[in-house]
Amino acid sequence: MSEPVLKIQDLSVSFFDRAGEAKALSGVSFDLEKGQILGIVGESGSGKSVTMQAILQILNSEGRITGGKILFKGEDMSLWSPQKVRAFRGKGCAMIFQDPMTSLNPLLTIGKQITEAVTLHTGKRGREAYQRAVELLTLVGMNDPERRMKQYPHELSGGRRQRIMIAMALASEPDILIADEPTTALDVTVQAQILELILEIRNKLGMAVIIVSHNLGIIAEVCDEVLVLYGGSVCEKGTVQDIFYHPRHEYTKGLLASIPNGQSRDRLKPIGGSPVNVRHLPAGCAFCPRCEEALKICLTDKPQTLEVSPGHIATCWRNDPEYRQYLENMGKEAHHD
Amino acid sequence: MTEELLRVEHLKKYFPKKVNGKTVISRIVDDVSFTIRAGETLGLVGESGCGKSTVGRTILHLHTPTGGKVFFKGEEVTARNIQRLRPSMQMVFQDPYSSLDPRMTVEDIIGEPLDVHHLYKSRADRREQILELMSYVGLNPDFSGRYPHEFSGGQRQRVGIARALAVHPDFIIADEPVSALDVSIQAQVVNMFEDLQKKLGVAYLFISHDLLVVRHISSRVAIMYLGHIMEIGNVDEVYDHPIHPYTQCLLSALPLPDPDAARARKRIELTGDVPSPLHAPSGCPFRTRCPYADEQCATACPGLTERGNDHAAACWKF
Ligand SMILES: Nc1ncnc2c1ncn2[C@@H]1O[C@H](COP(=O)(O)OP(=O)(O)OP(=O)(O)O)[C@@H](O)[C@H]1O
Ligand SMILES: Nc1ncnc2c1ncn2[C@@H]1O[C@H](COP(=O)(O)OP(=O)(O)OP(=O)(O)O)[C@@H](O)[C@H]1O
Ligand SMILES: [Mg+2]
Ligand SMILES: [Mg+2]
Repeated sequence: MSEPVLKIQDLSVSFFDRAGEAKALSGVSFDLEKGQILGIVGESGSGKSVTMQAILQILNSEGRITGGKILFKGEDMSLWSPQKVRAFRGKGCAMIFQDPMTSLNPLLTIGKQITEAVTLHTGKRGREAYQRAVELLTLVGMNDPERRMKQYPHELSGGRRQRIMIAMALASEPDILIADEPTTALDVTVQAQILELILEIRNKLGMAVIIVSHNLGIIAEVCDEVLVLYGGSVCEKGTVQDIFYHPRHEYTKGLLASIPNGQSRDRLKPIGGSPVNVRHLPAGCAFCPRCEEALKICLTDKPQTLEVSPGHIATCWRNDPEYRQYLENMGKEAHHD
Repeated sequence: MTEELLRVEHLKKYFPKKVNGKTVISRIVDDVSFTIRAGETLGLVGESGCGKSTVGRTILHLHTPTGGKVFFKGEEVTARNIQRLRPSMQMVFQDPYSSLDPRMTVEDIIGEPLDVHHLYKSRADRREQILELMSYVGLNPDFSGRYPHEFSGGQRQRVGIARALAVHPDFIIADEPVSALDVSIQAQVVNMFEDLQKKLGVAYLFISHDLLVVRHISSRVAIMYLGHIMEIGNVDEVYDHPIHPYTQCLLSALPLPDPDAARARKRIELTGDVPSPLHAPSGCPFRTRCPYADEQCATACPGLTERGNDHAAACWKF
């Protein structure tokens, strides 16, 4: 396989303030391949947005990368000059946010904003930049693009604004498109259209996409690979089928059991307790206090990350070969009885 | 069959709106009718702005209805008797962060409706009722002296529900009660709603745009579009055999947490935008986006007609 576009190696990020240290990420690793759509799931506070901020190097002043590396096309980004980092934001990696209204300038026309983005990233000016802006609007499925160019953001529906945001992100022809909860503010029918659009441009342009969401339905719809985060650690990563049909971490299993599946009306199985506080991480597995299947060792020792099947990794003691051997022996004994 | 608890007949709520100095009428809820039986849950779904919350608020006279009638246990709800009826009809709001007074302890938040309606004999009785309500909704009674900010989103939602339950309602309107919560916490709150219904026999109008949660919790469901109910009936009937093109489209867009099924199914694409309630189309409200619409659809609004198996739809074509 060719080199991944993005390689995150053992990344740790903490926020330091008067209250002490908040370990937002503790040793997160994953690869993003060219043309791949990676979904990141996890509950509020699990570190999804901080991971994106670390990649784009836009952590606020209290936040610091305390360990690990981020490699873009094999290059260690921590060695880059500020100019190179700035060029990366946009050309290397563009981001779209949950609420397009906060990222669009209400006082400028759509046309002005997109042509500015085109000029900034490609150097194209005047007629040429205008042409490219119209092309981008067409690419994101806006009907009547010439008219749209003259409109202001408030004249458009939420779904159209999100399309404009995507058009602007594409102006630089980025290698990576990051979408942090891109459809949370949208209705289901519009959400479906935006997800369809993301799939379509990935197929057309071959860029890698990271979609952050806590809606498992959205992840199942569009992602190739899925990363599950809990309390700043990776629980599990695998293909969308691995994660939804053969989960190997108790947190993933818990998440899947807690949503209605649209078929049975059996009682939902919530995950008990409340999310871990990253200011007071437990000594062992971060999920241990809420885990119904916890072993003694989960309380005291961090689980290792293991490849449970090709390309499918999980960080749970229950996958430990010794433990599985023990289970098997138990099974055998049960048969002898 | 269980008794009818709430009957909504041709409910209308119009808001006047100033456009370029002229006052025009915005028809937010237009001719909505349904019934809810004691102890059952009616789900109300539809996209943002279609008028779901306005239906809820108008039933409780938080908005004065522009037209139509609401009957509660056979008695017509009016501006005069709403004060007396309100303890039996409660509302729980979407946002667990802004709907609780941050300066009040949880004990006083839950106790407030008891104070308003004089529902205790002594201070000790008041306190006892509050602690019982807390344990009902799964809150640790030891935390009664705490303030809302010391609780998580799911716990705050429980406080809001305990407060609604304080006056022993027969009917609760729950307006997006789980939307702001993480999935694992959502499940806890959904289960709690179900448990309370089993234990206390409360009926719910459960407003949500999460179609999966609505299917799970409801016995019946109403699909709303631009102030109108397009389809209503038994939840499995409507989800498995949708009649109205809008319902079909909505269900086909629902993100399924099952990758193979999600990829295999066919989506029905909707073109255009929801019209503004200020420029609602003549005839069927959905006709401007409906692939099957013809002249008939533009001339008259199709009312809900019964299609059998507790299932009604408002469509000329199907
Ligand atoms: N500026 C900050 N100062 C202190 N802690 C922070 C800061 N930003 C984030 N954190 C902490 O880092 C952790 C991860 O936050 P992050 O925003 O990545 O969560 P998330 O997974 O994106 O959640 P959500 O689903 O709510 O968006 C949280 O515990 C959060 O409290
Ligand atoms: N008091 C009011 N005065 C004028 N217009 C109002 C008022 N309350 C609501 N509206 C309008 O009525 C429409 C429907 O609002 P409503 O809150 O009932 O929708 P909803 O279906 O609950 O949407 P959501 O899913 O976003 O909560 C909106 O366009 C809103 O602006
Ligand atoms: Mg976030
Ligand atoms: Mg509402």
